[in-house]
Amino acid sequence: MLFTSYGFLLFFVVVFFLYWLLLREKKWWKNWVILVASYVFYGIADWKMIPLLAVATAIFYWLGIRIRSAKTEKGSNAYKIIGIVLGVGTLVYFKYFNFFVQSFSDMFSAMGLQVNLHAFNIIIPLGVSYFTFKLISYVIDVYNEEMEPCRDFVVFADYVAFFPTIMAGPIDRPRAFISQLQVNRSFDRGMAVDGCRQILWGLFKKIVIADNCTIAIDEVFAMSQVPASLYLVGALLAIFQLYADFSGYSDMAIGLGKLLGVNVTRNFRYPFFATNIAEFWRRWHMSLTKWMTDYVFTPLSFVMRKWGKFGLIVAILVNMLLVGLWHGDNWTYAVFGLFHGLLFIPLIITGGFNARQNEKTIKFGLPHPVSLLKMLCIFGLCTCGIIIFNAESVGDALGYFRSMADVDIWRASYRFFLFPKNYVGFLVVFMLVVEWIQRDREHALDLTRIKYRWGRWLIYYIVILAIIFFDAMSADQFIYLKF
Amino acid sequence: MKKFIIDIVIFFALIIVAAIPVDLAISAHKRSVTDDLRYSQWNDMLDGNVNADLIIMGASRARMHLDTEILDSVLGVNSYNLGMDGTWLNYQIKKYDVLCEYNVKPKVVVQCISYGSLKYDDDWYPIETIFPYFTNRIMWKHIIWESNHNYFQKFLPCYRYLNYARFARPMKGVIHKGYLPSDASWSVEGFTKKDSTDFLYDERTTVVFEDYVRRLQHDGIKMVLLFPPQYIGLTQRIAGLDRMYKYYDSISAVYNIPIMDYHYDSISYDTQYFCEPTHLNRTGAELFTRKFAKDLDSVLNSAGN
Repeated sequence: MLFTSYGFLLFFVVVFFLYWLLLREKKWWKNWVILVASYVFYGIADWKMIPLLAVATAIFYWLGIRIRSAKTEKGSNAYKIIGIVLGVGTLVYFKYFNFFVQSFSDMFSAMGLQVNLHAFNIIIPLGVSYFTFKLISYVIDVYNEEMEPCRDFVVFADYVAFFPTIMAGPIDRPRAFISQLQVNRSFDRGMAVDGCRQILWGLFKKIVIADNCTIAIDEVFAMSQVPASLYLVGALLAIFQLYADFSGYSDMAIGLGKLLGVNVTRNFRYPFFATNIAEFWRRWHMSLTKWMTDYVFTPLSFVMRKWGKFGLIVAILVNMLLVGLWHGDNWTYAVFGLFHGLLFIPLIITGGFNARQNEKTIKFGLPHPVSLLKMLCIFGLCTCGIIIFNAESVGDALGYFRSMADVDIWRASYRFFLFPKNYVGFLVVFMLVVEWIQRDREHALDLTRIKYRWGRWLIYYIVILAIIFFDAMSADQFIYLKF
Repeated sequence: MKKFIIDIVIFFALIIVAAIPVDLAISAHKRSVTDDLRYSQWNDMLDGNVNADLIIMGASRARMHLDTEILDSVLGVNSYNLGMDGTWLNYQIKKYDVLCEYNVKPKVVVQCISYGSLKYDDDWYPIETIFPYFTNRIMWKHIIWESNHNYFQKFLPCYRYLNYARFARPMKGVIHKGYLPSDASWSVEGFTKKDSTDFLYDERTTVVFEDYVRRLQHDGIKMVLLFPPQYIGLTQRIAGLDRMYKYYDSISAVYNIPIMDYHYDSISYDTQYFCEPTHLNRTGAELFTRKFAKDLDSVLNSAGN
């Protein structure tokens, strides 16, 4: 049941009214509504995996309590380690087992050794990468005394299975999320209206930008002879497709949360306006980056601090390798992660790693030429990363780069990019302009600075018309659902 | 909460209120269109302007291959071509049902068939052809209610027009009673694209088709099954051609319906008459219609005897 489907609209309307109109003074009722809705939502997508979700939730709930009630530090640490092993083990088993088997098999074959390693037919549970990360962060945070263990099972189960985020994030952190469910929520009109705006912008990005980019990419590669310049166009479209698809999904998830009175963590902050790679990762898939920073990079860099910048480089390479591998069981993801890790090295050497850089502007709010140049450089490098990310294999990625590195790269394909029949270039530019103007806001459709309601409504109507008019009718899955 | 819900209701109500007159205006405009085949056929049908002795039913081949002006002059009848691109038999038959609600039933039905006619699809294609008629009760009864339009398209004013605006391709030209030929010349690319194809068969369509045949017989309407010309190279690539002939031969035998087959006619061997493997161009269509009209005349006369 996709957020963009009519079925989901009906589902959410029912949930919304049950949540706010019945027993409105009872927080337990709201929490139960979220729980039932989340399991129904998850069950519709993949009912066979409900037991896994429920059992994992129960185990980590128990572990959280045991970590705090353990009499010794050693015992407490043991429960934490059990939690981490279980969380990582679940993830590794479902997502990477066959990958490791295949990789070992290939490695032994390359060494001339014949081993009988058999891959299993493993079905990957939907959202496993997201809910296992939530569970792991919970046991670590409880162990680190950053939060009290949750003693309300329904609240904890809501945190794990919260339906707007279970399939594709954002990855909420336990302290911020659980504390919201432990108190009763009263309807906040401003929050709900903002949620609607954010959903609308998310729909725009998914339906208008991402799905049209998908069609345009298909058009490019349906051509019998693709010139190098169109490979470049394909790569550019791919990064916009991925951004619009994933950030659109995140916006919808956050908006749905707001409609239920729950703040979901932010996942994107206009990453194309980043002026260095560190800033890019502070803006792209922020919930994953923050998670990895807190639980992998920071401890690792602490351990390696005696090696100075070299230690920092190793920590960032390991961290980015894991960020890449989080996406799935393909070496392309590992190379994607390492590629981004390597981009950090100049920043670490020059000491700009931790410096926050905001984009500078000149007259009329236009970006400063130096900032613009930096943004374009980062964008170009990230586009190269997306080529690796999207490729079937590392060889395919190299082949793509080779196809791009041809003299006919200069043969103009701007016509395709700017004026194809689905106007995708124009739509992408429109999205970027709106996001640039609104870059200090949480989302691009935050129009609270417009004083008059008719002015705001006019813009909403225009966005709705654009969604209806430019609907690509392809009803594509969200890309990040597969991770 | 109350204010939020009221705001939401007002927000969407305003859209709907504003969209109703726009929808009515667009529909009224399209109801008067005569130079776009997507609407002119339906407009003629719903205005009761068809009233033909002979109608041609089928998909794009019917539309492009049979010149009604030639048929009228050679056969001395009033003919009308109801062929429309991309439609399968199940939808062509619904169209016939709408025709009969507003017009005198024909005396002869020429039913164009091909390897794809028995496919089943609940897509109404081209989907926009029925958009202007969403206020018509008969259209709802026969087509819209069962079509695969979603509820928003069915019930929200204007939505369907906006939603499909980018995909709509006009079918403009000089239209003569449903006949709209192509002036394109042979395209090799078109031929290479059609690598191979299969005889498409779905029992849901055959049930509807055979019921339609029985209804025509019950109403005393003569029926002719027509395999119009297609480029021989394409015919040779159709898998299951035997199964196709077997099926239609059995229909022909059971209901005593003549089949006129031009798959192996000399026209089918000459690319100068085609714009691509499946469709004749204007020259080919005119040549074929003359030939067909003569053949039909003798078939009908012998059937009449």
